[in-house]
Amino acid sequence: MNDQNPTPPALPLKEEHSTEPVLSQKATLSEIFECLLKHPHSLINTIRQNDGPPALAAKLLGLTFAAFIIFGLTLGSFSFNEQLWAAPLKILMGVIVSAIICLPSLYIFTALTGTSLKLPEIAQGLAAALALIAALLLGFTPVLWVFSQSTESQPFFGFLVLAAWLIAVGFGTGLLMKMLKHTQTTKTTPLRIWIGIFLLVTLQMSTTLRPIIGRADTHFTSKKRFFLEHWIGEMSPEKTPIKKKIENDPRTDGWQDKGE
Amino acid sequence: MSAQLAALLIGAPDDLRVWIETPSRRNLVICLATIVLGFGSYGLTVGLWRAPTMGFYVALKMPALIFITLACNGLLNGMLALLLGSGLGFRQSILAQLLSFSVAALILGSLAPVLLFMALNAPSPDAPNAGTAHANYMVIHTAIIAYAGVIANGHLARLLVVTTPSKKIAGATLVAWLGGNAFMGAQFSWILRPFFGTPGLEVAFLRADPMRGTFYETIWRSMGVMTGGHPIEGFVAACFGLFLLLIPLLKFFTDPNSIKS
Repeated sequence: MNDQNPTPPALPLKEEHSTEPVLSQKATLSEIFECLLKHPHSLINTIRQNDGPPALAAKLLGLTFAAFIIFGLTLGSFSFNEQLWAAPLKILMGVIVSAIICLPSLYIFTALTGTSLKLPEIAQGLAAALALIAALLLGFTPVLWVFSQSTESQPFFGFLVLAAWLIAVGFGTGLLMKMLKHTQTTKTTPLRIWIGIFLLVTLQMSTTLRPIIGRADTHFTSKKRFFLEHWIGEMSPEKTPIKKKIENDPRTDGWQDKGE
Repeated sequence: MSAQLAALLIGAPDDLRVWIETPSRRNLVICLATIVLGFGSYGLTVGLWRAPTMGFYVALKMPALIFITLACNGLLNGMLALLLGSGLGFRQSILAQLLSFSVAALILGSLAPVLLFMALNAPSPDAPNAGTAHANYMVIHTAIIAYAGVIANGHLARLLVVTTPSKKIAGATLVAWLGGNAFMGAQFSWILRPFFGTPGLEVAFLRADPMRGTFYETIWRSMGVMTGGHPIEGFVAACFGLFLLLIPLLKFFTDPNSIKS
């Protein structure tokens, strides 16, 4: 190799990202929330340089729990009654279980990319991704609340919740992608596959823990169904398309158009 | 103030940028006052055809519709702008959208005298041809609102292009805001109905039980009726129409010669 044909330099480090300030151990929840949205690379630096106790992960999880409970309350307000406490609990339980069962595969799939990330870093990254998903869902809460009070159609409300969930998961898992790219890894396909798996798990979890939207005679149903089969069944014309009729609820008396 | 409003209407990107990058209380007040007066005066002419009381109600409801929609979507729009990498904070996001609505308010407010004339000359709501007049009235107002919306969003698009790092990010941010505001705006307009006042129905500030039902379910049912029980085909046709409306925006964001590449 002569001077005219120098060896190509190694992949340059993204200086602007690697030099972003690290969050202090005493960072408040609002600072972490702001960091999640405005400076994700600062949060990633904090995770990567954090050798002490996982205070950041605990705060991220606290943020996640609070936001998911509010989101669950909004879903519960579609039917009120026992769903006001059941829906938040089910949402929280579903997210925690989904995260726990997907964490091992996340570690394996990220390892397949050749990254230098360690398990504690990946676990904190997942906590950060969940916090971001929860924060976005919190942003969707006013929108969903308006429709939970307006519509009686479970498929319609379910579709809105699903759309919000997909958008939130898209952005949340984007944080994991950024974290991976932060380690100069260019191979991202395994992580993309894992994101698909995580999405499938959470969608199936919503079917396993049904009813979350609407009411039923029992808190859980023992009938096992694949989520697509469940959704198609719920949307079929044979199945009543409107909210399960609740006795003495004047909102289920039917309504007619009253002009524009 | 007139110079600032003129700058707002001209929509020179650098002028608009100053509004966002150095937000001031005065500019915020100008935006709020413009929206209240512009949408209020326009709303008056919308409801006036049905009854003077209706005109008064709609004058209150039109600006309220804008503020409620922005309040409901404010957190989400701010978060999406940050996550999409626009670099705009919550306050700047709200201000950018207020600017866009102010432009629409100026256009609609400026047409209020013309529409007042039209309302005063239209067949009265108890006339035999009131149904036709009501339908014509709705079509004309829909076209005017659509025009104001296109111009206002054109300003917003130019503003986003100069304040965000790339046209791709500007486009994504605009689509996210537009989608959210249109989606919720339609539902809030359903909740706050009536605006035009259907002949035969009593004049009221809100319909009885305004939260019952959604705009989208009503549209779905109407599509079913219009297409003889094939709402999906109607929905596809509506999506195609929406796509045609978005073509100017797509051109704007894909044209390398528009403002900056």
